[in-house]
Amino acid sequence: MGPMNTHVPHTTEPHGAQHYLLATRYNRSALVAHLVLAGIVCAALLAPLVRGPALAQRLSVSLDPPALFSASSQSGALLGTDSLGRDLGARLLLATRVSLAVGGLAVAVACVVGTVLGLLCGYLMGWFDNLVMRVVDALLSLPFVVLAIAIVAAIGPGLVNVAMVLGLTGWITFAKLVRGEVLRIRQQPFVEAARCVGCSHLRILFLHIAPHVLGIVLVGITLTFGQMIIAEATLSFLGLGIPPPTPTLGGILAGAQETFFAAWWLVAFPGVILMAIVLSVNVVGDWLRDYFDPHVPIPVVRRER
Amino acid sequence: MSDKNATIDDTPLLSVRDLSTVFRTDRGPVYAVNGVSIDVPRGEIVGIIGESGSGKSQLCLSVMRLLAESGRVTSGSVLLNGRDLLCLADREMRAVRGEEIAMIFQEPSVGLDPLFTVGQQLVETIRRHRPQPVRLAREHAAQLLASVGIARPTMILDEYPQKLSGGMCQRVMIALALSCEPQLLIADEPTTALDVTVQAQILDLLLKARDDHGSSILFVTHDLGVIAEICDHVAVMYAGQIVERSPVDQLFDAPQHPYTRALLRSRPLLSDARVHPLPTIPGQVPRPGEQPQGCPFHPRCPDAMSICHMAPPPVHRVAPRRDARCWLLESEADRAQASEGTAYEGENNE
Amino acid sequence: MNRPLLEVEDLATHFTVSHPFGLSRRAVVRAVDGVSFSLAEGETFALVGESGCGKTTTGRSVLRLIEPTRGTVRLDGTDVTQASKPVLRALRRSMQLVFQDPYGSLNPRMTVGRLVAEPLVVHGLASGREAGERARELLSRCGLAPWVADRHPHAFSGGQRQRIVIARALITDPQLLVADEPVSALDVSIQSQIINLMIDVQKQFGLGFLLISHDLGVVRHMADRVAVMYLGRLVEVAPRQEFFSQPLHPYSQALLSAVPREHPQLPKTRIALAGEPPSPTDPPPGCPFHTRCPHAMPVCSRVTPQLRPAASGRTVACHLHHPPEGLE
Repeated sequence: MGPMNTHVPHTTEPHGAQHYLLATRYNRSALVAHLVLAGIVCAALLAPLVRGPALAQRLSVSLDPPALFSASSQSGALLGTDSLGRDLGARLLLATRVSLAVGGLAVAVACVVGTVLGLLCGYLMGWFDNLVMRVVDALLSLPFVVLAIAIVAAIGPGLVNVAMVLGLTGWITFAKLVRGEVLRIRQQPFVEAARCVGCSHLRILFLHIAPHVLGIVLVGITLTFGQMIIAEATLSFLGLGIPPPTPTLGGILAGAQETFFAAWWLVAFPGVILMAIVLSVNVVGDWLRDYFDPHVPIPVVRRER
Repeated sequence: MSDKNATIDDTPLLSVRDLSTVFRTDRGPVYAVNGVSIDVPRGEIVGIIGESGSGKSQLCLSVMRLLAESGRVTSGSVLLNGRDLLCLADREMRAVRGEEIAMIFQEPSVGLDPLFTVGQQLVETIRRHRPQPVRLAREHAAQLLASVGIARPTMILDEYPQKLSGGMCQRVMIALALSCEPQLLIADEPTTALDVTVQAQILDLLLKARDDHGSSILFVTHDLGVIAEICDHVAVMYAGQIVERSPVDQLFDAPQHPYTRALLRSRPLLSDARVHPLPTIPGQVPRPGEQPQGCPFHPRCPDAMSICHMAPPPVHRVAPRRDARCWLLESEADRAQASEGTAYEGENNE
Repeated sequence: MNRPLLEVEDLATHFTVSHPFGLSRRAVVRAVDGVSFSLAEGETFALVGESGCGKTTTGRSVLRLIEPTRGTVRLDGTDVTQASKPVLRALRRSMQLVFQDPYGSLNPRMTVGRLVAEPLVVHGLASGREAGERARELLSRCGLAPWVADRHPHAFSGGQRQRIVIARALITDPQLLVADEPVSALDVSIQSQIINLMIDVQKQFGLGFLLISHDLGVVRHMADRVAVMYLGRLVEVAPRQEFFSQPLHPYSQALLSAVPREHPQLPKTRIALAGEPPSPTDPPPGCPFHTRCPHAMPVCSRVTPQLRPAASGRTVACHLHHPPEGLE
């Protein structure tokens, strides 16, 4: 076949979710990240099944080493117990669920608010852009913790409130990223072409410009997700987060620092889970960005070697 | 124009022999330059004409040894004064680049550093090649700028490149290139980004450089008009190969290769009466790495024969320094023999 | 009733550029400075000139993609410059633009089918399947296979993309097409294909063409009338034949003579121009061309020549042809 025939359409090419799954199969790191993330999310969803005795305090077996690694375990808890003798494994399951919920909610709020404001700033420019950017400057000049203390003091602690506080500080990242990207994209000839065709501003903004921002928003999500979980830990540590006994990954980590030399597992296991979440979210984010970029060729069949 | 008879027995200044350049890509190796041979005699302006992706720029970069990281010359030789540039150490090559070969690019701003004034860059280059006090070098620089037609050279010396227009930048680039009086000037589309009136001035300048210093010029362009304007000899490139080489008059009078013929015919001309439709070349320019089997031009060729699909045509010598790669130029018997040969090879492969 | 399709009167577009640190006072760039011309149905009117002469800005101002500073543009009798936003948006149906850069002017995230059908959807002329069908039909009229509609623009070469751009411009059945350097970004062997396509669709659709180009070969081949622009002003407007056989304005003569010869044996007849065009922020007084003109007279630096009729249906702005009063 000559080169003139290379643009023959592949009508048998799979579409939609099937295409996504097939494409993911051939990218090893993306595949692993998807599986890890799916595992963590499933565990978090199943967490409510853990109830009653597993969460009870048993001071007699406080700081018991993990049964998984140590023969001297008295409690039989696979991942050991904390200073109050509670089963760390069970608490981690619940904590993951809470942390994912807080992180997810916070990122969702930040992403929606930040992206919309960023789109409008970049497209409208002028006084609106000036106003929003001055607000951003003002927020950036205040230390995060001071701001969080002020807001939590006003609206009180709790899961949803914490997520809101985090979201309302996290939108800045999205707004700045998206605004910069829009300023770049609006210079492209296809935006002028859209105007010329007679598209309304709304159509240009949401149909022609917004899809190009998707990549940078995904990067923003992966960047902020980890930050949000860690920020929640900071707030919990300061007593401004989700109040105990509800476990969160940050809360467990914060509580472990007094007994760090005696009980390594209290730091290691939540740390590993936190790392696994952040890392796999990042890898999946990178993959999604490539997947939605029409310039990056995504093979759906294994490349011949 | 230079005396063509005198150059026949003279050894050429630059002699590229059977040069091939390969790029590593995701889709495997891609031949950007595929067995190219070209001579640049002393004092001659040799043009290379080709479309995007024909490999003309990569050929220049291969000669200069300035290929991108993923590119590599796989075979052939580049003889400058009989010395193979491909065998030189990096340090020796750097010396050759300033002293013996200079290059000007399409985007003049590429070659100039925005952080330094024009004068600083010129003086530095002059002193690197011929150590001398700054004051003398600056005088020399001002002379150079005046010689490329810059009206107030001492003022321009203190300007930053981004303050200058495209045409002015290109003049400065030429002054920079000529500052070490190179034997060979490689010009890669030096006027493509410029307006016609400025282009005319730059072309005159290159002709003057040839006449004053006796420099040879390898001139790369996609514009047949520019070729007609300044070149003595032309090579037509298509899909990484040179398909025709000819003195410039004969190329325009009697093109040998169907691609050259079609290119000449499909130009909208200033002097012609309006013809509609304009003769076209069907299809698209092949992307690098998608070269067809056989003759690379056969999918777009109006005269393609069955042999063209199977075997690449040999170089056919029409006259001294005039040849083309096309099966139409071969005898019936040669074609038949070649097609038997490929049929035989084909059986072997299966 | 022989009303022209497009009438442009005294169009001017000025930009203010301010220094990045506000160190110097704001400069006004007179990109377009009082341009008038008209264009009949089915006619091709070419605007030629060098970069920075304002030809692209003129095209954009005619379409009101850039707001002109003064002047009027009337398309088929409707005032484009005074039209309200909704009226203007509706007017866009009848006037379209073909861009120079076929790589940047197609949104890479949309399929070709959606891109070509978009004008129909935007103007409420068709939607869904019907719009898709029309898009496929127009793509095939522009020489592309219907399956092209399912692909993204990056799968295609420059020439194919320019065909897509033309199909998109034609789908609302416009009256006026502004083509801004439509072939200069294309490979030489592809240019003639696109030139032929544009001439064909012009005949089929009865379009008025405003061709903006620096390539005089293309202009010679496509245009009915030619206008030469220098520093934001028209210096000569002439029918094609007259313009190419005997340009009147010294700048037109220099421009034509600077085009590379088509054959190495043709005689060299270049009129050398000194220097480069002056900056449009600080145009010289009098005739904008006098600083480079080989025939400049003292009066040229004082009095700005106006476009006035000359022989065989052309107009020229030059004191050589219309000596200012009091000097005869």
